[in-house]
Amino acid sequence: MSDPQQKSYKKYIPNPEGLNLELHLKAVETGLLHIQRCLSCDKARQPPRYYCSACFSSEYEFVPVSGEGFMYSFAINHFTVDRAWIEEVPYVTAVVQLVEGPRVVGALRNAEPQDVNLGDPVLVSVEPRGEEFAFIWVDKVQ
Amino acid sequence: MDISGKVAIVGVGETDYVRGSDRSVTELVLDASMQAIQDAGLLPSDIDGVIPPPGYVTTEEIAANLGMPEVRYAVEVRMGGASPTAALQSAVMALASGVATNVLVTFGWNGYSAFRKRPDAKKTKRLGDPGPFIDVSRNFYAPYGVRSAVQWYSMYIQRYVDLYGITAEAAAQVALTCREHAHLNDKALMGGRIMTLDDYFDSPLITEPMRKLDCCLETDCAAALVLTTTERAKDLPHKPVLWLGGAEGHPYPADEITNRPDMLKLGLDSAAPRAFAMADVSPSDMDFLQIYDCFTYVVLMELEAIGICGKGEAGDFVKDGNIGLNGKFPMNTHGGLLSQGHCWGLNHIVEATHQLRHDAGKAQVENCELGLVTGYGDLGDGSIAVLARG
Ligand SMILES: [Zn+2]
Repeated sequence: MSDPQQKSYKKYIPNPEGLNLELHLKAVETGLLHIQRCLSCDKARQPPRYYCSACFSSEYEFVPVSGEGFMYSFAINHFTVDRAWIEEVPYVTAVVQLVEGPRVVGALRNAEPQDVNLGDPVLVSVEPRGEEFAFIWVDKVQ
Repeated sequence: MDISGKVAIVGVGETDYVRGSDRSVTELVLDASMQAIQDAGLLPSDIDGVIPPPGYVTTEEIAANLGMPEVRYAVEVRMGGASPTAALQSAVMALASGVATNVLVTFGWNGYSAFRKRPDAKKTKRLGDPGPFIDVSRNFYAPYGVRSAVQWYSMYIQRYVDLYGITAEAAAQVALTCREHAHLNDKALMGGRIMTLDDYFDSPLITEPMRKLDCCLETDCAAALVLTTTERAKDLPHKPVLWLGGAEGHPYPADEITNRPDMLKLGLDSAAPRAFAMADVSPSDMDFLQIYDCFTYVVLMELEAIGICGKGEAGDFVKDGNIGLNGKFPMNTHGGLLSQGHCWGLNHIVEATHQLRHDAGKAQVENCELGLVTGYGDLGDGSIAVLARG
């Protein structure tokens, strides 16, 4: 590890605050993907916000969701400025439409870029990293 | 209050577009600003409104270094690359209302040198303040290795090309056209450097569908404009270029791309109809288009957003030769961000001004009377200005 050529770069872990921290703590505690939901009109939203854009209520809860969804869009990264990701190119960043309504961004891990298409069914899961952040994984449903 | 046509661009200035400037951002901005003020036939002390580049150089610094003792209006517009064209709207409001009499709009940066260590270079500011979307990008994009503009935009461009069958050949047409126009411009960074379709396809993929030659140039440069009322413009040396209408638009939510009800709706989609209504013209009336071209595919989406063609039709539109200098809608006649240089689109406004003054040199669109400029920035903010020969 003393050889600078061998230096490994750790993947970035954010320090969430406020609502983002509340969201991540739920996921870290339970190991389940959570989404914010309005207590007044039940509308689910992502990322967390202080007021509901549908009914303007400030009452909310974080609820576990199924993780079921489909590929709404994606990015196939052949180049990255993030050294921790260089060895993974080309990597696919998934934009997943959850059945509960909101969309989440995560890392696709079980398919090659050429096998990814809009509408592909996927399953989203979380992996706690540290005390305050849950990384989002996306798997294509084969 | 009707503000259409009440304000004019009366002065323009720009530095060279280079990679490896030996001047700081402040020096570049002051140089371009002084050129614009002199071009307007004014003195720095005549300027009482300043809209500087957000985060790089302050109004206080500009005013103190150039000699502007009477500043009464100083704001910053924080819309990334949409800022300069949106700043026109702010300048127009300040001038038409009488709050200010002569407004300087400027932008400059070391977009190339600040990212590359060079032992002989002066210290320079690396970046402006973080974007207004920093909280979302840190928490929801960066953990997945998504940290740069090309990656953020791919999250919607991939969907755009898949839904509408937009081809790489169409994107290439945008890059090749900008390069052709750069050859006509002595100030263009890529002037004289030939680009072929093979070069385009040989350039590496960055984030699909974008290749290196779909991306604009990191550049050291600055540009500046002076605006005043159309009334006062009569006494100044140049043919005034009138601001007929303009607008800014923000996608919703502006700080997060993926949860927009329609991810393909840009800020420009809502801004453009307002600008055309104010100017009382339609897109097809334009004699030229200066479209913010950070990435070729963004240009295609913007052409649809301004209504010059329908949704999903921009690919065929650019392939039909419409955007060349001899086409129906000559586009980015200076070479654009893709081949002139990246001055956050303030260079597009400078070029539009030269076109409407009829002093655009080899790239002159003959007898042009009306043209537009767009801006695009951050996570899809948009701005537009419809300009006319006074
Ligand atoms: Zn609600």
